[in-house]
Amino acid sequence: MALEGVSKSYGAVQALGQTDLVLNEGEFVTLLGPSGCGKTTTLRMVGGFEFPSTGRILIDGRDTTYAAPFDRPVNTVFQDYALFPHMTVAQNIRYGLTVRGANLSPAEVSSRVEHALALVGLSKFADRRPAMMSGGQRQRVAMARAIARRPRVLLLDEPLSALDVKLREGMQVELKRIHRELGITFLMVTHDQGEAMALSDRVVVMQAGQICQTGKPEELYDSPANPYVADFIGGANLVKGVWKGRDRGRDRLALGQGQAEVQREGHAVAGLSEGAAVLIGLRPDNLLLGDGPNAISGRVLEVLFRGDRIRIEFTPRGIAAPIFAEVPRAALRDLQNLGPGSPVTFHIDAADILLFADEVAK
Amino acid sequence: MRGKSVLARRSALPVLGLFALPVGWAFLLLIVPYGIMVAISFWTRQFPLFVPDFQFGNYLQLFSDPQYYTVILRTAKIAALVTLAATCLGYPLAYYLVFVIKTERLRALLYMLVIVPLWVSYLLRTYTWKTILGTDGALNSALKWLGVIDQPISLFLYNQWSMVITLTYIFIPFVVMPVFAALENIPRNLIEASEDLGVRPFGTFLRVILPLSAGGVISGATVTFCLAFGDFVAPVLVGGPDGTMVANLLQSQFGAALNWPLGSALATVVLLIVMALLWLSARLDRAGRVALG
Repeated sequence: MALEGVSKSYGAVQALGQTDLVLNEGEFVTLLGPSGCGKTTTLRMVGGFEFPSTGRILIDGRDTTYAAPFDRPVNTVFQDYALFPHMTVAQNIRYGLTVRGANLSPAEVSSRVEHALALVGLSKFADRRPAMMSGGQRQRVAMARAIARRPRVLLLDEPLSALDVKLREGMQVELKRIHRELGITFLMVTHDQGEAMALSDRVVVMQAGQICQTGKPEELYDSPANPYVADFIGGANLVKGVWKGRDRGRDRLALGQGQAEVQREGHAVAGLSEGAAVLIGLRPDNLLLGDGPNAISGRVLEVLFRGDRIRIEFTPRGIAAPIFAEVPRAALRDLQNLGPGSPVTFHIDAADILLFADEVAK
Repeated sequence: MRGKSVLARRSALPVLGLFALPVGWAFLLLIVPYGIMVAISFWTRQFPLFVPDFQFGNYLQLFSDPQYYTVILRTAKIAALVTLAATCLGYPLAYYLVFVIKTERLRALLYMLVIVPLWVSYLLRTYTWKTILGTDGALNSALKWLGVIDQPISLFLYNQWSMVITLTYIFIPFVVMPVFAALENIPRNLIEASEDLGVRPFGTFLRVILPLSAGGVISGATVTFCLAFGDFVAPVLVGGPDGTMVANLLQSQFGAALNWPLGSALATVVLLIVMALLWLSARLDRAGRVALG
């Protein structure tokens, strides 16, 4: 499936800028971004509920840009499931199999319904009404109903957002298993970066109607293309600083007004000259408690208990914005008295520092 | 268990106090008069007096004398035709308002236009049809002007069809209102889901929209049938000699014919028919609700 130069405007408001995207057979791709970034619009255009202002949508090489929803080989798992309340679970699943275009014999329809129910583990619930089921069960029915039609691409619109946290984690495993067993292409939309990273082969990070970066979850985490992606995927403290040159694969960076200096190891960032303003990304997980190379000291603002991890907010010397660090609880054992006002020092591995040209300062 | 019953007893008193007025009101002005009516229906008439009695002669007369039961059957037929016509016209109108009109303002405006006639006197609206269908009426004038006829036709007015037309016009809003509400309550994503599953718009209408709006149709049809069944203005104004309906018969029993016992029996029969219908409607509606969960 492919989007070629697709864009969508509502009047003067552009919901999606010129976008190209290719989905490979059997791939699990996720559109990730905050609300209003154009991800849902993209999904609805693939589903046929909205038509692009420009560009083409190809499915299996066929142009389906303006095809009606009932005329394209995709099916959608709706955000709030959209199960037919006046039908049983089995009738809901059978609904899409008895249409003229499906050309299925009654025996085939029954076996597909049974198969779909078995796949989501709801064989015993065939005669229930949706109203008599829990959120997680309804979610499974919605999945079963969509996959029973054997679509070329399965579209999932925030499929887990209506479930509580505990259930959501269980359904993530289910979703991954179903994808593996079916081998069809999945296109999911979510605003939950954890969900996107856990499930997808490839993640498309979107912002304000544009694609920021496309890549495997690890690629996005390890080498985000810009500060926005760095912050959205995994979270990052973005600290203003100055680039002071590079030798033997290491960048020398001054944090804030230069009270702290760190060395970064990694690919060179293009277009930097000495004294250039940069943004330095420090992931909370990568900040290690104690002195070492690339040390940053400051005073503690707040200590937040998170179970196995402790979140420490501190103001480094000479830097305006506070920085968050997350350390394992065990690392705090020697520092029982750490509280607001205590002096604290962190260090970070040179390879873990993220570096971006400061577009705003230019 | 004990705690619960104590709680129930403690809260019962203020609740009773709160409902005493409306319950007393309903009892005095609804239940008691109905009781009197049912009691009188067993009395006998010894002109010019009514004698307290307990006999079923009045009911027997209603079901054996064609003068009475034909009117009941005719009323049921007309009410059924009106219900059918009002539903068949009102449903598409409500559908158009909900699904075809795109802007909220236009929808509100058109909905108001459906409701506005209810503010005009019912008598006046019925009378209007007399001026449309009459021999010197708008319809005859138009046909004459078009050259379709050269003499006014008296066929349009003073028959059962003119009553069905008039009552249908009057009761259409009572169908549009509940159907409109039912259609508006259907989540749009159910319609999208249906199309997503390969079902075309007409199939979607038959399999999703129609079943999910059945409750609105049932309540609209019930109200229309009951109101049409008890109507007594249209028969007088546009019905003509063979258009007498139950309500007119009732009126004459309590007036010119001066036979209260027979009139009470007739009123009791009408009440039972309407109550049976309401019970059936509630059953259907509940069945639908259970199906929807």
